[in-house]
Amino acid sequence: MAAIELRGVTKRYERRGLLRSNSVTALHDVDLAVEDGEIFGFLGPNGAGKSTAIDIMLDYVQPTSGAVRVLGHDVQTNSVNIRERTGVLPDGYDAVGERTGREHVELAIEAKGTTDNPEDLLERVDMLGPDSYPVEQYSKGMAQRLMLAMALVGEPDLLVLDEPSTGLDPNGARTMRRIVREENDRGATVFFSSHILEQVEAVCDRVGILDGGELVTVDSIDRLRETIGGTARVTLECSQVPNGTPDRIAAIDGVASVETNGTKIQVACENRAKAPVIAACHDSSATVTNVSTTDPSLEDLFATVTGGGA
Amino acid sequence: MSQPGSLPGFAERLLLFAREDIQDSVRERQAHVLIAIFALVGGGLAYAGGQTAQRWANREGEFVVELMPQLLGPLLFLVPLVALGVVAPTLVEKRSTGALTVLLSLPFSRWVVVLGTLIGRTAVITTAALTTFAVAIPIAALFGVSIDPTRVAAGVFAVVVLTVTFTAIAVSISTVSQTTTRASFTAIFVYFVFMSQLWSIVPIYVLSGFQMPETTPAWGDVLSALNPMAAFSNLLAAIPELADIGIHTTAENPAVYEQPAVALLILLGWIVLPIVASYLRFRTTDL
Repeated sequence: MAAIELRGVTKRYERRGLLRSNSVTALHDVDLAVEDGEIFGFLGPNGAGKSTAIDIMLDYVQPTSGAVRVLGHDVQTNSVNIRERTGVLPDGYDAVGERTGREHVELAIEAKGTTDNPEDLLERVDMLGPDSYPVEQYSKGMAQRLMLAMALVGEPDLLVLDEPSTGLDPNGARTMRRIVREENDRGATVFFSSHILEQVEAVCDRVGILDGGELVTVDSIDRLRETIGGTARVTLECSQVPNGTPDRIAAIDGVASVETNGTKIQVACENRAKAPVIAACHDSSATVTNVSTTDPSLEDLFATVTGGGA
Repeated sequence: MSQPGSLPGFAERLLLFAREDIQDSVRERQAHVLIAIFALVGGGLAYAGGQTAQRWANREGEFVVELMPQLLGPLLFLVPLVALGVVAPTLVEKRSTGALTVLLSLPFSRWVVVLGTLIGRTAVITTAALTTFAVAIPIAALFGVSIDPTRVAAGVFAVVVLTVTFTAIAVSISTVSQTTTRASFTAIFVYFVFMSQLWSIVPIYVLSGFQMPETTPAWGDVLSALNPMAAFSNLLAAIPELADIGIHTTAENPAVYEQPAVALLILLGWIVLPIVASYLRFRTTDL
């Protein structure tokens, strides 16, 4: 069963004026299925419609057309049932009144009717110290951690995290990733959005890339890399470039191009050709002083897919 | 670690939300300020009543200063003002800051949000308004103002009805408003319309071709009776001792729509209809 299912979802924001009306299409005919038990990354540049899509899944926003089912329920008619089993880290939230961190977690526990210990949840996100201060005084990163603790209440079947790493320091981002994996190991489906590729790459089984309100692609990161022409780059520094070596490298299966620049040989090739390229140099008369390889850059990939190429 | 024995039902979540709403008001010190205001009003009015009573006591004759009329007159102006002014920003503020985003990420339905806010704020404002009586009664007793238990009971009933009605109207305004500013302006406007006769005069004037007719058309009288403040006056007419307090004069021979029972229905309508209508609108509103 799909944990999240969007079918033909379109969202137009209308602004009616006396003389002039205008409308902006935030999502256009989006179909998406997130399978049970997977970690799904939702990528896209700013303004691509990620938050709108998430807001529709959470029933914060009504789609103009299309159907959305979460955990087998229709979001518009059954949203309470969904939220009983879903943990949410929303975007654009604020403290509920003048409550402390702990009181926020306690509110979530009572609303969900679970027996969680607030202490454990706060410890998991490293917020045991500041939990007695009002959340209004929290920094963005602290608030993010607290919201994550609230989302974890009641071991939800689904976690929906909207830009969870916003404002987090490197430690916080690591904690976030660890918790996402732990929750997934427990059996939870995790859906999270981000514009930071490394975050997504590190934990996601599959990613969906949204651009200009349309879902451009849905695939695993590895497959994406392959489809988008996964050329790796190998740079070798040698004492000198022996005659014939570039030609021999060029003959290796999977090598796209060879360039020499002084004592540097730059090779663009498929991943599988990397080792033979280095071996070919090593076997020649030249002494290899330095080797560096780069994977196809996710930034390039992102730019290619979203049409925002340099 | 978390075994949900039995999930909370609608009623439990509603009470939880209302309780949290009351705590919001306590944490913000709003409840304290309101209670202080009404306590001052109650104390002041009872003391003033006591002064009058003592002045009369020095002269000849049978003059009795009764507490309830002293209190209810000013409360009729104050309760709607406070209910509208204080409650109208609550829900829209939660919505514009993003606190509602957090609440709606939990299993609270939007109906629970609207109804819970109504219950919570009604509890706060009613408590504050009833403080008036709690403070006024002992002071009045001290200064020899007459306190008739029946009238006190009637007065308490009247204040509760008035509080619930105007809190419901205020919550409705808050539910459908886009910004806090707009909610406040709407609330002030609504207060003005209901307190003055504008509610019925303007439509009568407009529909009679922009002139005041010599005799008010029958529908105009019905319209006047639908004003919650008029309905409140008509309701008070059922209590002989309090009959003259309402700010809208009541008819000698009330028509059907001016009967106290009908007036009570009209007030109930002012509680139920705006809440339901605003919820229906809010249900499909984007946060």
